Amino acid sequence: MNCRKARSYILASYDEELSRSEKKELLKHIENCTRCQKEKLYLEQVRAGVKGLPEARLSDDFNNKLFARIYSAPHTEATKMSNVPSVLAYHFRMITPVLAAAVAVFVLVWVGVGQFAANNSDNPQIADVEGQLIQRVNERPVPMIEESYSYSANGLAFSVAKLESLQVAASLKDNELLFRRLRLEAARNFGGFGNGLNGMRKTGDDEYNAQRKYIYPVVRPAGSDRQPY
Amino acid sequence: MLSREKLSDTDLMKRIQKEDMVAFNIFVDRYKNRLFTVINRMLDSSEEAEEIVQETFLRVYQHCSTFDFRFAVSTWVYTIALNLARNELRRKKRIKFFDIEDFKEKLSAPEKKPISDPSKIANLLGKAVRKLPDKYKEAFILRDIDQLSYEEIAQILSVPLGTVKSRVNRARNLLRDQLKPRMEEYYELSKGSLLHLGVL
Repeated sequence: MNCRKARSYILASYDEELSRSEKKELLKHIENCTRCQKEKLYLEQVRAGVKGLPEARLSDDFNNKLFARIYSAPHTEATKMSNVPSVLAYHFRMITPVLAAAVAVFVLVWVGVGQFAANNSDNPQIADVEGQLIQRVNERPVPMIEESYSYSANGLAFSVAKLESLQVAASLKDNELLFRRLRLEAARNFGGFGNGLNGMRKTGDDEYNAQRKYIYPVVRPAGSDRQPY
Repeated sequence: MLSREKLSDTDLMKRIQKEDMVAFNIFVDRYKNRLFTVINRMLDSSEEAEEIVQETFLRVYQHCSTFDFRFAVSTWVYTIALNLARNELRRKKRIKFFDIEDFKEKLSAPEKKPISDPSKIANLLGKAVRKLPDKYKEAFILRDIDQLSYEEIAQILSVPLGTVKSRVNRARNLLRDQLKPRMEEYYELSKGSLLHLGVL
């Protein structure tokens, strides 16, 4: 055995992992090797010294202090044991979106069937097929919202048209050229803007046309002596 | 009435999860001295060690619901305690402390004072353990002071088994090297007696 192997045996002997034959082999080596003898002795002293280390003691009221800390600790999500989510709560949280989707689908189907049944309530075949569900739907009070809805829709369309007109008028207010063109188009197609634009400023053409005198040709019958004026 | 000896760590942990404070008390009694010994050796301060052990049990109580029963309870508890101790060591390293006793010894005593009394080795060894690098120190303490198996230490430290063995042996060799200059005389006294070598 060489010193290298003997050192590994010495370390193994520290953990008492040597077999009887390995112990004999090591003993045989260290009888003749002073360096390994010292290594062995010093390691034994380390082990003996560790066992003889002075031991400190915990204070007698260690448990009391600990339990006082536990009871006075703030009950946060992490500390409060009752807040620890149970397995049931965990699964419920996981299936909540699925449940919500299922409820939404059910409501939509229920409303759709109700509408369908309302529209076809006079059809005995459908009433027979749908049975109690359709009967229940038919018993619902007639929603009054439909009439007001159509009225509101018309009003809304009217409001939108009005709003667009106002927007056009506002954009044209300061655009003289466009305004004139529009006015001419309006006059050509349906006789002008009407009273709605009376308050708007007159252009130079309006003033010119107002002062202009037209001479209309007079058609006289042949042989007539009558003067036109 | 719970039997302290009969209940396994796993049974205790299951009861603690149900807020059984009697089980928690048994658990504390089972581990407090072992943890205190280890942490006290690491920090070399009984007050700080006691504080760390208290914090360890507090965290065990607070986070017992997260315990994974595939692992050993002891491993989990030791890991919490060692992590807290490491944090404390890091904090202490940022604020550098000097031991006035070390300066006294350096001023009053020669460097290589031989040890004639083997009982003094323990005191010398205590100081030598304190000066070990942290990773060697924790492996050495868990193995040679707390007598844990290499497998348990490997799980606690999250390192391979071979690494644990090499760290422990490295720590032993470092301690031996520190003691060597002062044990020459003792060797001369015991020279020739193989009984002292523990081989026979």
